[in-house]
Amino acid sequence: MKLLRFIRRHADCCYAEFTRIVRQPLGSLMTMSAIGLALALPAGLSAALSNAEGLAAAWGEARSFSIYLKGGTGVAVAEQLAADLERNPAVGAVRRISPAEALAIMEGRSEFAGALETMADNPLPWTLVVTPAPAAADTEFLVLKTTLATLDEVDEVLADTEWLQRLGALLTLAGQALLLVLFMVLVALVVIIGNTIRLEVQKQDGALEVLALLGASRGYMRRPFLYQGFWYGLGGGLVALGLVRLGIWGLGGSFSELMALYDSERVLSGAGWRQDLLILGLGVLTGWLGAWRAVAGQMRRIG
Amino acid sequence: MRTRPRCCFGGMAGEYHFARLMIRLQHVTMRYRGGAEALSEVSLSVEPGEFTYLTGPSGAGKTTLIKLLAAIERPTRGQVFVLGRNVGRLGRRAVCRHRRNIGIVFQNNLLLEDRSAFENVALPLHISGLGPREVRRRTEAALDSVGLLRSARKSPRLLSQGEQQRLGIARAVVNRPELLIADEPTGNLDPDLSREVMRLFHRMAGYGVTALVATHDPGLIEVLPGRRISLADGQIHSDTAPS
Repeated sequence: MKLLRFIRRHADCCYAEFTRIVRQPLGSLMTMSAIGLALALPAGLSAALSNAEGLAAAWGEARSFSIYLKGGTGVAVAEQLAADLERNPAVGAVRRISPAEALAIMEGRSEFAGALETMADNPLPWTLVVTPAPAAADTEFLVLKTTLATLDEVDEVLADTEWLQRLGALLTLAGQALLLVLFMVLVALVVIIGNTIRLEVQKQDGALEVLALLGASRGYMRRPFLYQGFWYGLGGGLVALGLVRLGIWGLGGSFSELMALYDSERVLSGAGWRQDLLILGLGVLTGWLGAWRAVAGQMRRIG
Repeated sequence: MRTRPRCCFGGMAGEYHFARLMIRLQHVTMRYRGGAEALSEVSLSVEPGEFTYLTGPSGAGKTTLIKLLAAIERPTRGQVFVLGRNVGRLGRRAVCRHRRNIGIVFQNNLLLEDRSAFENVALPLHISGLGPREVRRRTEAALDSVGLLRSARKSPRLLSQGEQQRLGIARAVVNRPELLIADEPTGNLDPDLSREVMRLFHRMAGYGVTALVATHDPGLIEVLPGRRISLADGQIHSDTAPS
């Protein structure tokens, strides 16, 4: 019974504050927009990061590398090495490119056409393009690369995956920067909401004193302001999610065009429902903390 | 008129009697920070159901005494007991509970103008956590008892000064307190309205409420029944029983 009464009191207060906010649509919308804009920054960054991570993961799957055999290496040696590689569980596929095939490819490229005509012999070596098995671990594949580089018949092993590693490191850094931005935004939000609610508290100063004289506890006096903060935070969170959705919708076309250039059908997406919930939760938390901060000083003054 | 003894009991019987007293002040001195003594070595007691006037000129210490009883101030020295509790030593939560157990009427009403008369009177009940049905029943009864039930939906701004003061009294009694204290409740009213408000206090006291009403106007209470404690310069000047 006591619990029911407690829940009812809170529900009544929560609803009363909702109607109070609705009755002041312009002011409330401005406050929520300010919160929403501030929250949209980390939310948007989070969505961008999530898309970049997905892209990097997709590119990472294509971590093939090329083995250039020494000049003059015969077809038998190349075939033997290719066969050995195909038996390795870390290897998914091996593509053989003979010197003649390589030359034909080079000749097809206009920038090399003139240079190749001046050469008497074909200088290009046998090339094996190795694609890892989907389940192969990075470390397993790295060991294979290192081993191959030490073979007598191998001139050079070239893998173009370093940029992916750099991209991965950059994304990790961006993730950490995002946390920092998020922290700063949350602090700013606590200040913004705290200030907004402090003005409301100051308007209600006389009423709070009367309530204190009538025996109201601090919790009772604080409650409406905390729910006010809750609604501002929730509204701000919804504005932020709306802005991020708008951004994704606006940039989606350009992103798809960019992906088409890389033969990818990937589309720009949000950060997912968990992040959406997190944004809403952070909005509510900052609203609540801001309200608490605004009321705390007044409570101390009233005594 | 006869002068009452200030303190008269000792031993176990005395302790039992003290526990039953509604108000007991023991050698209370109150000095505001950087100011003069508002009360000096004041001792008094009020029995349950007693109607007491606290009189004296401005600056005599009436408001300070009321503030001590409501735990708005704490005494510099001495002890203040209300309903058997030493209010000078109450913690923050206990102060809230204490104020819910007494009814206070202020000189300037302290009504919330952004709420209706009904909402103002219902405030102490909401603070006490009563259910909506009980809040409605008691609030309407309190408004009816001061003749303001028809003005329940009005803002206090739209009420006359006398009605506002009656609304303040309704708010003070709505929680059925054992003790009703009032600080200059007629301070802003004309003589007719003042007498009407005082009669209302007496009617409330008729229900068994102990009342302590501070007033600077001895003429107002001349013909009214009740004990009179007169303060002057922070000390009890006289204490006379009802004639």
